[in-house]
Amino acid sequence: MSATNSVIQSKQSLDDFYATSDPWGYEKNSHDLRRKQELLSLLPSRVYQRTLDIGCGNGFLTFELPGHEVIGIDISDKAIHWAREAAKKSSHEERYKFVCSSLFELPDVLSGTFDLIIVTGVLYKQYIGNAISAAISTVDNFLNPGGILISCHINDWNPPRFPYNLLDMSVYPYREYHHHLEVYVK
Amino acid sequence: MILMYHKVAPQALTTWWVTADTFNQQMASLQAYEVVSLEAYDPANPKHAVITFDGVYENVYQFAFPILKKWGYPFELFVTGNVIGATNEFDNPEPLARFCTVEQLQKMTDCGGRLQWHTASHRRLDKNLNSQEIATELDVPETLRTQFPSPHFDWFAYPHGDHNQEIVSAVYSRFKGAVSCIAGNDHDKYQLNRLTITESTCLKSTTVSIIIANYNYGNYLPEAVDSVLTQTLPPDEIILIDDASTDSSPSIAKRYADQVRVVLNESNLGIVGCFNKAVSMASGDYIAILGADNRMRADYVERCKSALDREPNVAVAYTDMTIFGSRSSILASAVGATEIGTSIAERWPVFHWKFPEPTPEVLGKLDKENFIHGSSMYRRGVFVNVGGYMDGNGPEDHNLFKRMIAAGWEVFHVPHALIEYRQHSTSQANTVLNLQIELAHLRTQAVMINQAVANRDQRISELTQQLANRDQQIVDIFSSYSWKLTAPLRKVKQESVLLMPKLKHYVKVNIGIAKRIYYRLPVNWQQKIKSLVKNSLPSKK
Repeated sequence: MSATNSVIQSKQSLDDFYATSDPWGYEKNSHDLRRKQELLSLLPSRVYQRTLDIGCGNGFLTFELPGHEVIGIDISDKAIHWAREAAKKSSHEERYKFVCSSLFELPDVLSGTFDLIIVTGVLYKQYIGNAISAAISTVDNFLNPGGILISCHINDWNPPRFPYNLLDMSVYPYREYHHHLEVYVK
Repeated sequence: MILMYHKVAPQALTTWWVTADTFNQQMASLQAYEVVSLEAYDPANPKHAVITFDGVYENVYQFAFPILKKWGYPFELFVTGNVIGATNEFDNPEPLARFCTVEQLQKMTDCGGRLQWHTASHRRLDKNLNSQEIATELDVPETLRTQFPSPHFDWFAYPHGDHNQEIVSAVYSRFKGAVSCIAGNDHDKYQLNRLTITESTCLKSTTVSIIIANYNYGNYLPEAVDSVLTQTLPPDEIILIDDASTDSSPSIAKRYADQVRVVLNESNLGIVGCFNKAVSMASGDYIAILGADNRMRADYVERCKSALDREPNVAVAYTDMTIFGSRSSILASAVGATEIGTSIAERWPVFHWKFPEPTPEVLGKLDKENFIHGSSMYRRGVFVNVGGYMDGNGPEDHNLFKRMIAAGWEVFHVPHALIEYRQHSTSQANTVLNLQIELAHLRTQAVMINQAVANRDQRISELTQQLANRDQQIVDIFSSYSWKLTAPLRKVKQESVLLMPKLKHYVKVNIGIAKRIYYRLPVNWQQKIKSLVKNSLPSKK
């Protein structure tokens, strides 16, 4: 229960990481290309009005998400900077918006709700400490009833599950770990 | 009781901080109480609870407010006027934290929050203040009163709990009541006491035991267990009981031995025997049994426990279900379940099966149409009183719940699909997901084994190297000059056992000559002979 000694990764270390545009080498490595493919293939085919990508990084996945309006958020402003640069080069620049914010600051930054929310690699104790329940409730306030939520996290780090009905689940190797991908409908 | 919080955040940095997850558990425990506003609070009612926050810190808005909204509780926010939108730099040595802005306070008042007053500057209200200073602290600014009219700012909280008679009088003329945090009482509305809540405060009154019952569902067991391990409100006890399965279930069950209590029946007891055994081993106030081929939704424990906490006359809380699996359509069309989506990976539709409210009409048909499924959550005490599961009279769960109702207990419908009910093929036990899970497990095992082998190889090469080093040391010693030089010493030591009697005799006979020889020997030879002689003499005691 007590969390006084756990280390939470700092914004500074994330900013340092995003000093180059593609520090993971996402564009070229098979693991991340696979995780993008897994997520997109399990994404229910519907018409989405508003999509939210939480933990969007440099927009690696964001630009391939459906939705008339797609908003990506990340805590690192360097990552958001690269995402905005990439948006300018895309053919549908007006669809995409990138915001630098943590999950818990989001209610003050964004208004309205979404019918598709993606959460990737954010809900770990090393990022959000013992505030998993608050994170789930915050995300819940942004999701329309009947909306889709997709959660993609490293299994070995014990990510939480969402209190919605499960449509799809997939477990696949990712680097030296395994990813757990869940598709929910609220 | 009135609960007092200050900061709610991802980490509990000092005693004034509570983590958000602990806060959620404390809020869950309040389902057994009636959470009210201060206006409605009756100190004489032991079931009444009020949630208050002093500050009000921004982290309360970010981390506590979403949880309060989820539970639907009213709550009181004691605002310190001068610090709205500011930080707590003045509050040494507390870690830095921001206070809420007016906009954030407004959003909270839209969803169950009420603003109350906690003075302008949070200074101690002791005897040294004159009436002007008291007024400055106690008067709520007009701008705030306009934006937040009564019932906001009807109540007051004394900073540091200081409430001497003069202050209480000043508060009396301005507010409808006041709360302290020390030396208050339960009958004076202007000096009500509050409980300081910390990270270690446990308000829990009831416990939950989840039983996962398995018979030859080894293929699906990991999904069932994972669904119980990822509950938003963790159960107090998890028992995984295997009824002497003949597939690989026992070895799969053992993987979870460090997270759940694994019970492997030596012989098959059958459903009734196995379930009764499991419940007899459980100690929770509330019990639910999950079949190993099914799954729970993440909020099953949270919502069902909450229902039983709120309804003391209810013995069983039953839920809606989703239907999934390769034969999901068959059951779904038979019961009129609605499709909510499809599993793309498994190529089956997923349905929502709604159950009825327990109206007298529905209850009247319980004999023929059971609507209380086997994975409902029930009170263990009632289970024991009505005799537990029994053989013979129809499905064991139906039979049990009928007896509970006959004993005068009520049932409650939780209108959410909290159980995932698998309709699987009898011939094909594998799905894409359970194969992926098994593969992931084997891959993880392989990595661990490879690592262990690599560690052992490394150890072997280290030891081999040490042996080689030692061999070399021995060779070096044997070929060294000093070894050769000291050969006579080793011969003396070897032969001293034989030499001693001869030497004694010789000494005895030739003591003078021996002495002269002795004194001509090098010193180290003298010492050697001296010690040899000394050791052979009887010791003086």
